[in-house]
Amino acid sequence: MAVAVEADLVQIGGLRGYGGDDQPDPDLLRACVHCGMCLPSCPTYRLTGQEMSSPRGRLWMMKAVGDGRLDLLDPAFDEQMYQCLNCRACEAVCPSGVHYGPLVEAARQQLETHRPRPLPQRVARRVGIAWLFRDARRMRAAVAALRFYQRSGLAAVVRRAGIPRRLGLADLEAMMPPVSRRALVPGEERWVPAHPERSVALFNTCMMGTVFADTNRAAARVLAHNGSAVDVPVGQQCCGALAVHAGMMDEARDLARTNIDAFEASGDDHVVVTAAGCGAALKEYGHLLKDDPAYAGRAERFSARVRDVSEELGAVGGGLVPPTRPVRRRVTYQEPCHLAHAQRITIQPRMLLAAIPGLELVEMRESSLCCGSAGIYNLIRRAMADELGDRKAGNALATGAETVVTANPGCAMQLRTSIRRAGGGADVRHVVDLLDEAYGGEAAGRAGSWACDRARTKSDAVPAAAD
Amino acid sequence: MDQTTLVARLEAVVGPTGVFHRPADLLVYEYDGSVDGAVDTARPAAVVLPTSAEQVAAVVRIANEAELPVVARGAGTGLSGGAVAQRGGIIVSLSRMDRILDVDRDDRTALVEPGVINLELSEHTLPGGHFFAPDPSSQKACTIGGNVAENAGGPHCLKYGVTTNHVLGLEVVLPDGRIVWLGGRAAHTPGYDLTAALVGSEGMLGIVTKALVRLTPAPEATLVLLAAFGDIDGASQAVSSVIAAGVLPAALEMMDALTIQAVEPAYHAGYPLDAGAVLLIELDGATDEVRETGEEVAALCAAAGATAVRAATAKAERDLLWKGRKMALAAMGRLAPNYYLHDTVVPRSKLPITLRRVGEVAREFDIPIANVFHAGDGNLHPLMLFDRRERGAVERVLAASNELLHFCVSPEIGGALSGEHGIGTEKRDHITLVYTADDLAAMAGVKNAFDPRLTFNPEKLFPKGYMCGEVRALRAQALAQKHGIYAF
Amino acid sequence: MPSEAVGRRPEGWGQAGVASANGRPTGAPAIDGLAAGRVLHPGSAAQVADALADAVSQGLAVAPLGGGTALALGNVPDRLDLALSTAALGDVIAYEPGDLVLSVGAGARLADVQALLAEHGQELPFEAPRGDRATIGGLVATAIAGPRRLANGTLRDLLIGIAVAHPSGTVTRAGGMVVKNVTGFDLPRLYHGSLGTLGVIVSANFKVVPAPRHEATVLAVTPDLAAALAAAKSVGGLASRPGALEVMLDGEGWTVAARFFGRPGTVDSAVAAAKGVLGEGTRRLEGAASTAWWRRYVDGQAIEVGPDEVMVRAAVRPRDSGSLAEAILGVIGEHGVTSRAVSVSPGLGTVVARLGFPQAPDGAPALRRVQRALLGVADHVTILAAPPAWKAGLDVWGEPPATLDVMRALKSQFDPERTLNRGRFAGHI
Repeated sequence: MAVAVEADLVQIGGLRGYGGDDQPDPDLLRACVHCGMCLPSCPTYRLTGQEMSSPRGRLWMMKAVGDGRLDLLDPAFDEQMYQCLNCRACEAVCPSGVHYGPLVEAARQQLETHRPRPLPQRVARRVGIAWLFRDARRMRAAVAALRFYQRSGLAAVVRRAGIPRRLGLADLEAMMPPVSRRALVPGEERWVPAHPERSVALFNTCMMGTVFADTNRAAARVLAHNGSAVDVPVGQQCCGALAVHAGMMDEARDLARTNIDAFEASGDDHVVVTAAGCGAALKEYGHLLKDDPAYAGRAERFSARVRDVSEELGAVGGGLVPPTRPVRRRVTYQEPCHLAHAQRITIQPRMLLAAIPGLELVEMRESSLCCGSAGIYNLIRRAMADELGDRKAGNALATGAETVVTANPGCAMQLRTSIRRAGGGADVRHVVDLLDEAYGGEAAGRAGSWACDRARTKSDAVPAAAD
Repeated sequence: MDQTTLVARLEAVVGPTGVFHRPADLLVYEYDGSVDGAVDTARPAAVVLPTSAEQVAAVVRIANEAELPVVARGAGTGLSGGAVAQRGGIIVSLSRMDRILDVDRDDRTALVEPGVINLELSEHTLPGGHFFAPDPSSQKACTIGGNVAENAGGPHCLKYGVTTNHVLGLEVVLPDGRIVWLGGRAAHTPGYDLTAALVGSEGMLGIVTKALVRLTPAPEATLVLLAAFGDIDGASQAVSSVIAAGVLPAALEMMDALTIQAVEPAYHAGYPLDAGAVLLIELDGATDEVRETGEEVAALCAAAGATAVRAATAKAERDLLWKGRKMALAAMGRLAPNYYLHDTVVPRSKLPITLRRVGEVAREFDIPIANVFHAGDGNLHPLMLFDRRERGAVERVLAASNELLHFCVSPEIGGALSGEHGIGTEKRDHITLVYTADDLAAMAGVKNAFDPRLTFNPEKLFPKGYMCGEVRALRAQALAQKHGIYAF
Repeated sequence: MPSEAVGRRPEGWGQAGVASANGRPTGAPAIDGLAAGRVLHPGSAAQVADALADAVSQGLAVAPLGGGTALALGNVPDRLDLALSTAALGDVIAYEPGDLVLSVGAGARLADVQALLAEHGQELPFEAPRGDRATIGGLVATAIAGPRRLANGTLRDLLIGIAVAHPSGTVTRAGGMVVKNVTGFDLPRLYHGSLGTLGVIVSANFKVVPAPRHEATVLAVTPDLAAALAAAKSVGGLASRPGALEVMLDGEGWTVAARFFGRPGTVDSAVAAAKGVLGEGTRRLEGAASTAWWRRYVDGQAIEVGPDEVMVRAAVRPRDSGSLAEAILGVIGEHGVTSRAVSVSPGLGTVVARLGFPQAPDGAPALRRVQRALLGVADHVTILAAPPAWKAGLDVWGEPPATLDVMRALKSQFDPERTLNRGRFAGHI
């Protein structure tokens, strides 16, 4: 097997270089002048102080593989390419505008293609990324099972028996927030404002449509309150971010094509996303499919329509409808990497929070440093993720906030776990959860601000959580 | 000492997670922030990340036993090759020594480890009304230890002075492996001012393991003026008038048309796109004084032909005006894949003629050169844009740079080789343009007093071969003349 | 360059130099009672270097000589054969008001330099005792500074370049005429305060600043030291930071003196704020009166003593100034000496005291005891001046630091035969 995968690798001076498709673009690599400005922004460098774990170090290694000075299959290279959280904080501070994300993803793709992995890892990755996330229905079913587990009393029994601990899943179990009662199924719910000014298409998989379905509904209500008719297009799937981060480019491209197809019916409407990680991935479909003649142009157009929910609300004509119900709470804001760095959205979430009467926003130290979640990083690199999580929890709790606000499901789960571990009592919410509360939640609908149209279609029907 | 023994000995000091020796790991320590081509890369034998002065000292003693060079490294943002291990040996990276140990508001001092990031010290002390004044452009990333080694400057050193003016004392590991304090909290340490010798010594005399630095009280009020001019001469004239009027701004920065056209579309700082040059003038101090001085400076700029003058007092507005300046490098970096940042200083009165020469050199060598620099103290940073993939581009840039260097340090201009980047390896062979063999012999005397075995950061500052005896021309000349008084 | 004219003379500086350059006194000076056999007045840097090389070859011990205002500073020389005066090196070499830089010969007198700068509305933000006699070279070599050190530092902070003649017979330069320069090691600052033991400073370059438009001083008298220090601390913490802040013992009790510089309006509000802190009974000195008051005060700190007198300087971290001052008063009481003048610089952490020794003429044992006691309460203690016989056997610089070996190595690199100021510097270097 090892021989087979290595066969197509370029050999330079006895060292194995890149081969096949998806090589790190030498032009993009060359843009790095190793000035070092990225170092302090990088979570793994901050924790380790070692330059291998810095963006410029990783770029230099990628360059070295291309130049035949480092073996592609050198364990140090693999280690660094996967130790990276791909939080892209480095991109935001790079004076030379290096596009780090696509480079590390390409390097991972090279490793995925050419490096044999132990069987259990392969199986886990296939099941996790390729099978479970591939199909929204499988995800909903899994989450429904999870909800059943949490609520049936089974969880208590299992926990008492120490099963999660024995399986090494204690943290994973603790990480799971209370699951929303009902999954949000595309095509089944629609929000229509009293006076529609525009329509938008809500992106809804995987975590946001299941575990955090109530947050997605909150987002829809807030959008509707501000004049947008909100549809949840049928046929959409996982954004593919996890596959991209893992270097599984073919899987990622399949998902991208599926989503492009699903959203084309909604014309030029903005595609509104509540998960920063998904938003960042959707905005990069153009790059992902640039070599696919059938989809390159469509992908570009699709990416141009994508808006994070705070970006969308921050740009509504005539300004945000002022929320009137006070939310008397001290909060602090944790910037999701894929919002702050990948999408460069930092002001809008804070503006939305500032608009809420009674709410006090206290900035934490290092609000833009990665919390350690980074997709599924916290599941595969526990020690580093925990250290980042502890640092984040410490900074967040130091503000005295009762609620830590963020805008990405992975961050929300990581924050929740880290805060519990630090012994803190703060809860974790999405920006739109609080905004929805300030608009009156469901009550705003009853007051006639908008109407929710529950036209249950059977086309995409797998039952939501069973109850 | 073979590699295995060396690694084992080092691991015994800092633990296995503090020593790196695999080729892939060493690869990322073969450069610093300096430009490929101007500074050669070089790979160390091992990289050590100590967490205490005692560990640094122990590593130095092992290096002495193994007869290996020792190179201290901070964030590796330097632009003269100071942190590159030109002759191999052990890199001592101080990134894990990054604690702020003490802030004393009464004495206005901070005691920090060398790996503390410059800006983070100011961010830490600002809520209490103090800041660390040296503010090199890399302040978001560079470390205090590196600032000390390079005697770093920055836009605000016009008023506040450079790093050496803000260092009160240093805990240092000497090349013999001893830990000593130089200077300290109390004034008047007896004997020679070794602190002064250490600051700016480019890691050649000692490794800083703690720095006691001065904190500066934040000013009561700050005003930033943006003045636009039709051309560079007008802006230069305004600089002269401001200085002649007895005003000492906190910062006085100039940007030329090429810079403005790169910066404004990207950052919308409000620089007029049709301007030939803009000045950014920051005034700080007592509220009334700042207001009065601001009016005076605005009038002086108008008299010097400013086409527009804008004032900003609110922090957000000031930050926006500064953003353009601070991100200039970034904006320029996007115009071309590579850039080479020059760093010479000329007397203020020689700015116009020097800038004209920069323009000529740009044309002669066919290299776009943008000027964005510290006009207040004459520190030029011509920014040469190029693409290294183009055949001969690097050579052309280096030749143009050489041309400018010669011009700036010529007797007619009387400038300095480096204002804040240091000599390192980048300009070591140019140092004879400004210093004679005798001048260098005096500096070599200092080196020999601290580091007779030439262990710390070899191949820096002195011309190639000067210290190691491979090329004896300069030294022989000095020795022949001077009866062998300096014994190397 | 005026030195060229002298240099062209065939015999060079020889005896001609003695013939009173610039009308200075020509008699051979004495340091701690040791008379230099000869004094030379070289007229150029090269002549200084030649004189030094000659001295080395003849095995002579040399003392550089400026205005002679601080000859009492340092240990008693081991030997003294020749004094090298910088009197004929007193010219302004370059002054570009627009560049805010100045280059002067080592023999230039501070007051003359300040007068020149004042013509262009500029100054060195610096003062020293006897500025009418003290030379730039001497001030750099001794690191003497006045109370303005609080806001502006010492000449160390203003030095941008230097030229030095060495016993090797060479003249070397470091730094330059620009305000920012990291070309090579920072030798100018290493020479600052080296007491002429590494070489003879022949010229120095400084950055200068626009002279403040106005100044004023607030004086407040309190009966006890603690109240004075508390008041000083409050003034020091004002947003309008004083340019100098001293607490001194005088006949009436303890005086707090705060000096403010700036535009008239700024000075006015600073003075008002200081008065608010210091309470009633303050005196305000305006403009020239303020300047004159401080000149007198600084001149009072000239490094010279009478036959029964010792001048000491003690330093601690600034926050401990108060306890240092109290401790010094305690030491004075315990050892049967009297305080003739005590000045505390609370922002700098230094106390300078002029002590009367009733034990005179044999004050040596008492001085030894006082030095030991002071070293017990301060980080650094310098006996700035004392009768020479009392200094013998002491290191007036106090405890040498742990880096004395590095300092000795420096000395042997620059002056291997110990030609310059032999024994006078810290650790008897």
